[in-house]
Amino acid sequence: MVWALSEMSTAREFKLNEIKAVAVNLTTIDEFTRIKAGQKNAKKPPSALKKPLPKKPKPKAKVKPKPKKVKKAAVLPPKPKELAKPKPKPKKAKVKPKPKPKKVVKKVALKKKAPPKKKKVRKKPKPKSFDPDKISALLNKLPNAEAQTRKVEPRAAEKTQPKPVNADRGRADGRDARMSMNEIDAFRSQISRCWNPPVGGLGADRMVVKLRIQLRQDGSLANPPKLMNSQRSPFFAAASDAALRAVWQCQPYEMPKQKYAVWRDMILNFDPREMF
Amino acid sequence: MASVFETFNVATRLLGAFCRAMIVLSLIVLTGGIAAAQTEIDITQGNIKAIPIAITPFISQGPVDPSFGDGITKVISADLANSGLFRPIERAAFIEKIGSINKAPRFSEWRVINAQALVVGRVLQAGNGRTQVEFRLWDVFSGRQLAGKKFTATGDNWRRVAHIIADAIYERLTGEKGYFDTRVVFVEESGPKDKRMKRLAIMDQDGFNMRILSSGKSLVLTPRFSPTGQMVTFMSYDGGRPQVYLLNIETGAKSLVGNFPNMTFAPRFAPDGRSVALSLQNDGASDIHVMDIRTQQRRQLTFTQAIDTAPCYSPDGRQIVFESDRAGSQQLFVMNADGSGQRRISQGGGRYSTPVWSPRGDLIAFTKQTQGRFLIGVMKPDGTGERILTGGYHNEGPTWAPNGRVLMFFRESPGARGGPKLYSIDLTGYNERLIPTPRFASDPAWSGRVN
Repeated sequence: MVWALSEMSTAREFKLNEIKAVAVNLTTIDEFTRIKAGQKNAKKPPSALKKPLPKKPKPKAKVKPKPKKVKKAAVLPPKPKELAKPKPKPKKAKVKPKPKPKKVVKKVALKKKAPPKKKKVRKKPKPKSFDPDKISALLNKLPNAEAQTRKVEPRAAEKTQPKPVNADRGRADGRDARMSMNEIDAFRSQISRCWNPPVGGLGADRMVVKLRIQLRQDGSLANPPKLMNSQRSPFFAAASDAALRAVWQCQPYEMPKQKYAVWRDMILNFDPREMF
Repeated sequence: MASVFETFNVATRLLGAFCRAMIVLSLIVLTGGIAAAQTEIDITQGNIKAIPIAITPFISQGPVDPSFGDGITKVISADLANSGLFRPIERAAFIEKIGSINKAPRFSEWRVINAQALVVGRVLQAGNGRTQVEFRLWDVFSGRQLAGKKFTATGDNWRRVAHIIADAIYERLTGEKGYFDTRVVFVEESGPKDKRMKRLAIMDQDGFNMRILSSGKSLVLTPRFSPTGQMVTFMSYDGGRPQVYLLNIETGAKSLVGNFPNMTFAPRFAPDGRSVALSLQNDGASDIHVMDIRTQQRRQLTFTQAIDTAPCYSPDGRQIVFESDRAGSQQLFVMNADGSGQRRISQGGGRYSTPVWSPRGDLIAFTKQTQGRFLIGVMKPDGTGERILTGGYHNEGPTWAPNGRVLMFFRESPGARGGPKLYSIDLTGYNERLIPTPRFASDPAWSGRVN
């Protein structure tokens, strides 16, 4: 009996967890941009918005359908109870109907573990999806491909957000004070194509190069890019040259014309850590 | 970020008080400006590929054999291409013909053909039979000169000059030391599989200038360079039973390392070049000993009933990695140079052998036998971060280029007519290449940087 109860309670707890795990993100890029632009029809910016905003718009799209699945999962569990209840009824005379529900519940609990749905739901909140465009800097050619764990520090994802101050609520003139995630990603991918960092050296993953670039309206370089940090090592010289080459090579950049004020003068941090 | 300010601090300390005040002031102005408007974006994904580089034919000036400059150009191109990090652009695509190395090239014409770096050079007579070779390396986008040097060469060492120039280019663009001006000792194999002749041989890193160092009357195995590159230690059956020998490459003088009662094998120099670590057979087992070359004193480091062998020093000489089957199967162990603190480092399934410590100290390369295959891999000295670089039928005996970036090993091919050949592979796991040798070759050992 006690065992039966505990079985039931664990099943219920599980359900709750699921729902928690899924309520992730509800703001669309469009909304977010409107909020920032200070438009009237925009919602109030949710306080949680600042940080948990996923790095890329793509994962967002994937996240959306989730609630549906969750609902299904949430709807499903009651069924077993409905099944379980009617059974004891006919056996009114019997004093203790409980043992039977226990069996049913147990079955349900087992079944519940089986469907892959649940696992999917759990996994999805991780925005790191497989991206064939990302070339790994170091190969591991294990024949059975066992145990290839790649740590990606969440910090890096957070960091990739632009850092202007007070930008969330927009500006008095109604113009967006910073680029949208889409725009930043578009710019990023333009540069990434040309960035060919030296990767084999000792400490290559920690070699961050900081450049200041100034662009013309047409997206071309107005001045030679300027190196903002330095280290006395031949390896830093090579890494900074690679970053400079990337900036030169891929210009002119396609940028949102109306936001020139935001991107005419930028700091770029070339950080290869995630490539390792 | 912290490092930025650190370097900034260093810079300010070097300046006078007045300058310092000015800089602080301008920094305040600058950061004030940035806080208002500056967007900051992190670029975290790149596109790793070979750097397109234009290597123009070296100009011959005065009474110089034009084939000389041409040969140098070709060796530089081949070296850089072999590293996998560079893609020399076809000469036919060049628009500008370089007439003088003292004039700035027309960079726009090099950008058009997608060159990112440009090498120009010339060869001229330097008097008393010597030749001067000069080169300049340009960044095509910014128009900056990145490197430039002069060397004098005699007629017969022009390949070396070319390797040295390739090293300088490699070094400037990758930040790592070059490895083109290096040599490899190996076991040269010829004849049918059941009657193989195994001779000691040496060649340049690119397979050129091969020289045979032993007669072939008796079998040789596991040649290893001394740190200076002048001596080689190896195992030979010369005296009837296998013993470890020393050979001076320049003079050809050969001597026995120690006078051991039993078979000795798997020698390797300590980083100071004064002693050799080796295995001494002891009934069915073997232990690791260190032998001082000059005093001939020896010291036993391991005492087990197991087979302890293949010792290799860390570059600082403080530790030794070796293989041992004391735990059942062959595994890698690390100990202090005096034999204390022995601990197992390899943790994965399979058998591990032939550990080699990277010259830069950060990794240990090994052969791993698992699921009937022989793989070449690397792990950190504490045993973590294991990564397999290459698989296939039978790979063995890794050796490091002196910059710790590239590995060479040998791969056996199956069948009656099969045999070993040398290959190189980048530490990243990319760019596996066959090293051309006239016949079969095994057991390579890379020299240090030749000075």
